[in-house]
Amino acid sequence: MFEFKNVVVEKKGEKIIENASFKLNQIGLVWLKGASGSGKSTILRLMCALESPRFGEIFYKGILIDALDIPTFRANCIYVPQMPNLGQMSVIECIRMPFNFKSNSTKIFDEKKLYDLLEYFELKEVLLKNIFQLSGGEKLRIALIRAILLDPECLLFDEPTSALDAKMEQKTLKLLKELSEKKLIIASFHTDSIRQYCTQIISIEDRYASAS
Amino acid sequence: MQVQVETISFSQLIISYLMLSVAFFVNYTEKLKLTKDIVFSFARMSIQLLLIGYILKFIFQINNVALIVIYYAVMVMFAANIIKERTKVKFTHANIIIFGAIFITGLIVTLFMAIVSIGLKNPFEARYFIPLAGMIVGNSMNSTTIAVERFFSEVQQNRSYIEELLSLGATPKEAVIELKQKAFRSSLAPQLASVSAMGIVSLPGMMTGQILSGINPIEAVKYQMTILLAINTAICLSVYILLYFEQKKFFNAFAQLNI
Repeated sequence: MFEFKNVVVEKKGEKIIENASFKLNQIGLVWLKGASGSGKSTILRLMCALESPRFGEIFYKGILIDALDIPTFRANCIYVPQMPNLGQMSVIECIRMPFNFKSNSTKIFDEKKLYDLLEYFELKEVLLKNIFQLSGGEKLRIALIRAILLDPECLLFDEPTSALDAKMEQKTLKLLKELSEKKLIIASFHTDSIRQYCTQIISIEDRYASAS
Repeated sequence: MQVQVETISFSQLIISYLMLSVAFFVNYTEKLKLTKDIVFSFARMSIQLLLIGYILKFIFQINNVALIVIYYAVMVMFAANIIKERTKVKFTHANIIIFGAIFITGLIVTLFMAIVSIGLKNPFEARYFIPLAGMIVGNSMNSTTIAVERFFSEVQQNRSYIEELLSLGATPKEAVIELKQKAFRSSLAPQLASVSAMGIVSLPGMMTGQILSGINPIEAVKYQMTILLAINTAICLSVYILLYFEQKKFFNAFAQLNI
């Protein structure tokens, strides 16, 4: 699905990634592994073209990302940051919003699936609340639900379990595993319990990223 | 309609400046320490207005289209510069874009008003074109300043929100549409407020001027109405154009935030 070829990232003259080269399968759960500050978020942001590398090439299904229509590509490859900024609106508006984008116009908003996910994430009562009334963990789960509902080919999650308690963490991992049977999920985790679920690992060490 | 206006003689003008003695007196008794400021502002005003008076007199006498257009371009240049300085927004080609937007909208709207509303045979008649264009450009300047500045600061404060929408597949336009609407609204609001207070709270300047020079108040009112419509049109057009270009400058070719 993704291929990185000698990718170098520089920010303000400082090298963040010296070399990232790897190839990922079509589907599966990929564990993006590395110490904090090692550039995990940067790799995810490169994958959804929120940033561009200084040197090197990134391919998606064999096509250079730069050559794709970026909004359409991003709609197929959704990124959820560690602390999502969901704006100021009601939760239901927030979840529906991306379905109004041109690049998501063919996607159908599945209300049944929304209720199932809300129940799974124990968020049934928040649907009519405003975003600013939610805790960090609740916001993160709403962002995960929204991304899953959009049903892209590929999901990119930055620490999707960091703000969750142990029980919720296990539930999330299980769900991601289930989803990864049909799509590619790339996510950074601090917890080691991901090891039993993941199909591939990208590890970043000393500014070098490779996959196994 | 030939109307008689009482002219102010040179000696009367000099005597009128004696009114400033009140300001000096207040300044002295209340120890405001504003002597310099009073002298400087009124001296500056007098020189600027006299100068512009003679320039206008000269232009009106010659009444040459090329000269009027040059005068208009200089006026727009000053306005564009003020917009650029006050907004502190830096993007490439900002000078040309701001100048172009104000120049074109001001020109179209002034010509429309001159030809369609007033029915002039020569729309570049100096004594019509210059004051009308001046009011139109001045108002566009104020509104575009608010719009451009507001849009810029909204985008700067909402970077993470914009990126969030981008990563869900939003086009750059979709990602900033709410912020652009906020900026647009805030730039139109002052004129709408002043238009709706017109006649009750204040008598507008142009109308007052025409009444003073002896024009029938009904005629003056009709002029005032059309200039307000023209100003509104110019504001909408110039803000629309500038926000369009500003939005483009926020993103690079890969739909990534640039600022």
